Amino acid sequence: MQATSFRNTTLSLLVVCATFGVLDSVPLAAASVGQTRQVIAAANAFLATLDDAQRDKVSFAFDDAAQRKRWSNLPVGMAERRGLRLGDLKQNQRDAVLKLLGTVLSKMGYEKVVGIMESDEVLRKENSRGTPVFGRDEFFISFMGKPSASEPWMIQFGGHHLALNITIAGERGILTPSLIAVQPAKFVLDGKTVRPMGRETDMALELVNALSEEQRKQAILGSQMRDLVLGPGHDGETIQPEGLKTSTFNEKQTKLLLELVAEWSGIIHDQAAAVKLAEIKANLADTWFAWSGPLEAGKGYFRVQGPTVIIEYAPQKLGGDVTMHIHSMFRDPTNDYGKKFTTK
Amino acid sequence: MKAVLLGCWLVTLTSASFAHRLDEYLQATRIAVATDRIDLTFELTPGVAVAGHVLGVIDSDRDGRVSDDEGSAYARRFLKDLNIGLDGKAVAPNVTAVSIPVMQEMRSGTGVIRIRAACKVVSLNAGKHHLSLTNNHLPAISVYLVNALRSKDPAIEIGKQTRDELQKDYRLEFRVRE
Repeated sequence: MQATSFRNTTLSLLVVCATFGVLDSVPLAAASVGQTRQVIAAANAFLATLDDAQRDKVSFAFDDAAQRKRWSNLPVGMAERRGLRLGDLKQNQRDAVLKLLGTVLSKMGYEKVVGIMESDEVLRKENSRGTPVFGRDEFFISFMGKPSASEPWMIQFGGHHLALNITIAGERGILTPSLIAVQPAKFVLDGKTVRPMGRETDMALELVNALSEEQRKQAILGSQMRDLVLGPGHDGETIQPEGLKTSTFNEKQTKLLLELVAEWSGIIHDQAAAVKLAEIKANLADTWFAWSGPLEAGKGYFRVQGPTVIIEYAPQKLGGDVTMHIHSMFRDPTNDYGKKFTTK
Repeated sequence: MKAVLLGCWLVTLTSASFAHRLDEYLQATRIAVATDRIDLTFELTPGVAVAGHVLGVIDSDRDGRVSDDEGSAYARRFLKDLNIGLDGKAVAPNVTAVSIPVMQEMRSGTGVIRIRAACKVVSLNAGKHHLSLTNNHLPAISVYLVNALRSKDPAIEIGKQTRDELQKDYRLEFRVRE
C-alpha cells in the first residue's frame, strides 16, 4: 500500500511539474540565489517532518570523508548506505523528499531519477527470492552539513544504480560525482514504455553515426570496455583522454554532443545546469569523444572527457541483454563534491 | 543432494545476474608514469561464478579464510603473470600494498582485490619512450581494462595507448620533456 502510494505520489508530482512548469519557470536572472533558497526551504521542510532520532540519522558533518564516498552502483545489501531509508519514512516524509528532489533537480533530472527508482521496483517484482533487496523503498537520503545559503552543504540521494552527490555552495549547485544507471533500461509502467536513459542512448548513436568515416576511425577505441573506468571508488583519478578531439566536430556534431552531455549536466536544476553546460562548451577545443563496441543503440560504451567533465556510459553484460543494463558516471576532475568552491 | 546444491547455485546466479559481476574476472589496471618510477594499481573483481576458482588460487591452505601471507603470496603470483616492458626491456614490479576482501564479499561477486605495485626505473632521458604490459593471469576467466592516468609529473607527456580487443596486451607511448 505504501509502495503504491509512493508511486502515485511520484507520478502525480511528475504531472504537476509538467503541467505547471514549476521546475523550469524561474527566470535565470532571478534564479541564482532564488533556486538555492528554494532548495534550502525544501530541505528544511523535510527536516521539519523528522523526529530527533531521524534528524540525527540523516545528518553528517560536511567533511565526513567516509560518508562522502559511501555510494555505489550495488544494491544496498551489498554496499552500505547511511542516512534515512525511504521505506522507513512516513508518507508525508517521503513526499517531502520528493519535493526536495523536485526542487534541486530539473524536470528532466527528476523524471530520470524517478524512472531509475521505478526500474528497481521492476527488479524487486522479478526477483521473488528477495536477495539482494531491490525496490523504490531501498533509496537513502542524507545531508552533509546544514542547509545554508552561505556555507557549503550536500544532499546525497541514492541506492542501487543511483548516486546523486549534490553540493550546494552559495548560488552554485554541483552534481559531480554522480552515478546514473538503470536495469531494466526499458519497462512498462501503467501501460506506458519508460526508458529512463533512453534519450542519451539514442543520441550517442546518432552522434557516432554523424561522424565522418575518418572521425569514426579515431573515435572508436577497438577494444572491449567491460565496465566504467572511473566508477565508484575512483574519486580524484583522471585518466588520459582518448578517441577523437571534438574540436574537429562540425556544427551539427557539436550540437549533438552538447545535447548528449546535457543528459547528465542537466539533471541538476536548470540554473546550475546552464552554468555547467556553458563551462563544458567553453572547453570543447580540449574535449574528447570515444566509442567502443557495436554501432547499435545501447550496445556501445562511450566516453566524453574534457577539462571539467568526464561522462562514461557502459552497457553491462550482466542480465543477458546489454541494452537493458546500463551504468554511467558523471564526474568533474576539477570539481567533484564541489571542491573548487568548498576547499578552504 | 547434488540436485539441491545445483538448485541453490542456479538461484544464486539468477539473483546475482540482477546485480553484479557473474562469470568473469574483471582485472582493471591503472598506470601512473613518472620519470623515475611507474606505479601500477590493480582492481581485481571475480564474478560469482568464478569466485570459487579465484579463491582456490588465493586460499592455498584451504582453511576458508585468506591470511595476510596468502594475500601477499597471491599479489606476488599475480605480478609474476604480468610481462611489463619499458623501452623493450623487462621491468619487475614490487608489491607495495595488498587488500583482499572478506570471503563472503568475494563469493557474492562484490569483493574487490586491490594490489598496488611500483617499478623503480633509472631516471628516464628526455625523448620518446614506451611501456608494454601483457596480462597472463587466469586468462580463461578474465576480462581486462587498462588505462594510463594523467601524469602528475609535469615532465611526462602521455601519448597513444594501444590495446588488443580484450585489453590483455597494452602499449603506452609517452615522452619525457626536455
